Amino acid sequence: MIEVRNITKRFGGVVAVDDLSFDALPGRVTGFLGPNGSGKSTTMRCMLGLDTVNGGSATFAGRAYRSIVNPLYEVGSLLDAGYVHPGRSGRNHLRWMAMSNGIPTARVDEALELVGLTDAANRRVKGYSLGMKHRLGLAGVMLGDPGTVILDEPANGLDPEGIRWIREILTHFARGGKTVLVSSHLLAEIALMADDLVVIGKGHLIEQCSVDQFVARHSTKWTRVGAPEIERLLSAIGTSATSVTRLDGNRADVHGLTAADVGEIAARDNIVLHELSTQLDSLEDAFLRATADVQVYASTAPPPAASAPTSPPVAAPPPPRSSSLPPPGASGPSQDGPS
Amino acid sequence: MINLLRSEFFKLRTVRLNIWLPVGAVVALVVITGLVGLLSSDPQDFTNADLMGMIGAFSILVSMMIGVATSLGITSEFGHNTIRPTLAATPNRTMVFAAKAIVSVLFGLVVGAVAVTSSYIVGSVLLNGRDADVGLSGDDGSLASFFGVIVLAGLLALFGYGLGLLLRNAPAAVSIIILWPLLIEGILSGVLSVAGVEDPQKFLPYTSAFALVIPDPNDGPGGRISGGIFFGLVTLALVVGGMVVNNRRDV
Repeated sequence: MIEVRNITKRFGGVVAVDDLSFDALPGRVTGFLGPNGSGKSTTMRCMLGLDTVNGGSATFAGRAYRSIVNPLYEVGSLLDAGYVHPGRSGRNHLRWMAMSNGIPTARVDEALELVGLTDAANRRVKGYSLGMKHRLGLAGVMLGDPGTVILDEPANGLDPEGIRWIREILTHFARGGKTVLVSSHLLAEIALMADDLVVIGKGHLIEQCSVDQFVARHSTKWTRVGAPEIERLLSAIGTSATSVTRLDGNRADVHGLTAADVGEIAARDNIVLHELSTQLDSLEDAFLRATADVQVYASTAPPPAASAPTSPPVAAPPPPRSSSLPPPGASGPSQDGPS
Repeated sequence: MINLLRSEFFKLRTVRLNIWLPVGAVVALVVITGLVGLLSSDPQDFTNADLMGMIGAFSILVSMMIGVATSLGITSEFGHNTIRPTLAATPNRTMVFAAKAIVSVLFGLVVGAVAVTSSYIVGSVLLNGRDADVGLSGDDGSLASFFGVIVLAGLLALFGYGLGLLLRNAPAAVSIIILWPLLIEGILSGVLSVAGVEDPQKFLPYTSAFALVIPDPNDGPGGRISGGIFFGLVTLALVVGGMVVNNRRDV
């Protein structure tokens, strides 16, 4: 378990992290979210004792990181896959790490095999692709089979396959009982793997909750309905809805009524329905809404299409949480969101 | 600490520059000694002190190269940010920097020993094959100079590491290692002379250390032992300063 308590970090007059407290629990993936410049990386460096804090503390299973003698057995961290000497081979990079903590060399080969780098192990790192460096970094995390894993933006620059691989491996860690803390500035990416969220902005804690709770609090719900007699249905709905957006010939988005409400109205008037679903606006929109006031590097340029959502809405059946998330490649066509 | 020393030594030997730089320096010293042994017009006049004096003088360049290698070793940790995984693997910074210092000194001592031994063997075999009679003797300072080369290599290795640790910048550290004896101490010597200081060279640490490799210690500004100790203390101060600063700095 990771316990962060009142961490404050200042760089001169700039407060990068301000009295930040949160927990990350065993057996769960905790997504550490915030816009660029919100203090995620600084917090992680403070947690690992790489940056000195101006106040507060972080403990791993009750112990400060600096007090752990062989931390690779307890905490595996990857702050940046590029923190490798380019002239050293991948295998030798892992070997020095293993030696420093008394980890047997055989474990290096096991870790390389786990990440699929055995064939490239003796090549110098400067010839590695970004994806290979990420795999090497994760092999380093796995060396001591630690109970806690900390990763800073592990999917940065990866292709979709690499992102999926990272996601699967982190989920696997958590299912094995490890505490996983992973940072990102993209909620959509984190939402696919995280159980809990810690959202920060400008160094402050905005929210700590489960992904379900976050989405419920910050996203808008509406009902999508499709019917051959859409005009008759919309007439029947009348002023019960707060607003209605026509999509195409036989479909509409109804705001202010649940799917059950619309279904009952249709049944009462004997109107055939072809589609009836609850919609949530995108997770990204929810995240942007939650962090709107704490964007450090907000763009002043107008969005390409001011009325369009940043990503397509998603169907939102009731919990469990995972069912509310967009499966890979399942997003529908771009449509008008709620006004 | 043993794990850390093994790890740091492994790091040092798995970067090619750390191999080729000292190998090149040692080979250069052997070649120079060999050429002198082969081409000397009056080999029979060569004494023990002459051979060790020549090896000692050129060994300063070897020691500088060792210092460059150790300074690049630590500055590249900061340059490539590998210092972060290093300190994440071993959070006790004092232990990490001390282990690096120990490995640097051992590296210097080993390379210095290889350099002086190989060049001495080549030089003495070639000269003795041409009717000279050279060897090592405690009487003429050649034996002390032989070991002095090894000590200077160890000290300059530590000096390079200390500078790199303090500056965290490779060009700055390498420039100072090379320019310190040529430029900085030259200027300092001039300033001290103008200020009326008698025998100013004995106040110059780098130059004082050269007494270690001179067969006749009287040729050196402060004597062999005192010169070595003076430079050793300055080097130690650099390393301790670097450790104190880096124990506080964010990495």
